[in-house]
Amino acid sequence: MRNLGLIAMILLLFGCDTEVDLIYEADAIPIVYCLLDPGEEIQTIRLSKSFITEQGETISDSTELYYYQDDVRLAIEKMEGDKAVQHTEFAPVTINKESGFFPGQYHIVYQSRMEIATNTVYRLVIYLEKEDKLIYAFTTTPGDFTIIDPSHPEVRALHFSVDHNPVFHWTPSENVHIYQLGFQFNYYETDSTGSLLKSLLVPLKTIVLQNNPGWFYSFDINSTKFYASLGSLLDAKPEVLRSFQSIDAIVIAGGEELAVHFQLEKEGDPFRMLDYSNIQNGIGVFSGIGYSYSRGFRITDQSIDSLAYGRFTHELNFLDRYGNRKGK
Amino acid sequence: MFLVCLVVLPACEPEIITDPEIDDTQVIQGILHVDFQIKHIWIPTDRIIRVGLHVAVDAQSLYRGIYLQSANVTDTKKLYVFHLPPGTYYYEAIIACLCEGDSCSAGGFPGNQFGKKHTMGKFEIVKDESTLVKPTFQ
Repeated sequence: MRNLGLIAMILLLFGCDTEVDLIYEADAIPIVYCLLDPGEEIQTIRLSKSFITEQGETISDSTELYYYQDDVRLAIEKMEGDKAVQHTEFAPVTINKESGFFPGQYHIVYQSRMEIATNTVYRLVIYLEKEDKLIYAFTTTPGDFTIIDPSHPEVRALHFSVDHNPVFHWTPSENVHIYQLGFQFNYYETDSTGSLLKSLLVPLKTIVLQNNPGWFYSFDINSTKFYASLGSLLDAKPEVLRSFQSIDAIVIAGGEELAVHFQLEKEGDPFRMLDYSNIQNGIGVFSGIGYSYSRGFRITDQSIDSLAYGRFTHELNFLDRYGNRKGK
Repeated sequence: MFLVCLVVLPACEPEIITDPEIDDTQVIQGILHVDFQIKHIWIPTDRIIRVGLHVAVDAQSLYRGIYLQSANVTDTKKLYVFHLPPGTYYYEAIIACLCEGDSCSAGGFPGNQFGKKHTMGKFEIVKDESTLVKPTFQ
């Protein structure tokens, strides 16, 4: 009887264990990001896999992030109807990490020299040999489009002031649902060793558009936001002097998949269970992107002075319209 | 002693340079409308573009390029608006010719492609009223 009591107690003790193992080993999910760009000779695909860690753990071994390269076959196919008329294989390339938080020591992307046509359907195909898994996605690349304004940089200068925002006009593009407007800001940085021409992309406005009527789109850029963005993107370096060189107007066009991805991320719906994806058997975005430039604008003297002494950019050490810097 | 401190402390503050162009507290008291039409006898108007539209406090500043305000001119807009305090001002409007060869100089523009024509005028801004100017090119 005494033994029975002991056994019952042992059983009860084990029976009271309510701990549940939340981390369950399962197959990794392929994560794929690719934006086909007709303006680029080399196309790039990012392929990695999902991973799970205990709280506080970090990933240091890149094998947990990437598939073994010999097990991956990756291609993009140009489609005509249901038929693939061009097949391009992609090979792995190791690239330097950009700044920011990325687990692992390096990045592997897949690249290939491939001419991308506008207004064309492409299929992404990935075969994972070890898992015997096929991942695929379709997208239609953006059509051609042109910036109408700002135009004629030979004779016009851009003016950034509170009452006079620069206006962007551009022709609509087929298969495009999202546009981003911005400037490529070109400037010289001078220190004791010499001068260096540098360039900085200043994205300013993102617009999701679908089938708007009219022969061109028209949106203005807030001048104050331009100075504020420049002030936050460019580091203040007391030891260097900077001078304005030129500015390029840019319109970036993105496909439908990119627009849906952007909108869902922007809305940040807390009840949304899954991230948007157009990748079959995986997660990610396969879409197209296109650029249109109007290059080489001057900015007005008032804008140069605002750059030099304005409240958002005065710490960046830009020279004023006379090539001077007060206090230097 | 306290008074001395009160006087000395604000004087020791570093000079903060604010941008008058993007000062939200700027007082707007009158409006200038510029009806910037492009008309020409010898050159098709679609080969002429607006290049500049500026406002200055006096003619000398206009000549020296010291503008009070400038507009971002485009081919798709004729009417431009400036908000200004009451007073007398000068405007300058500039157009350029896009034709190739010697068509621009034959049509009256100085130089060939991108040759420019300037015009200027004087105008008054009255509080809570709008003023209209129509630049005319010779």
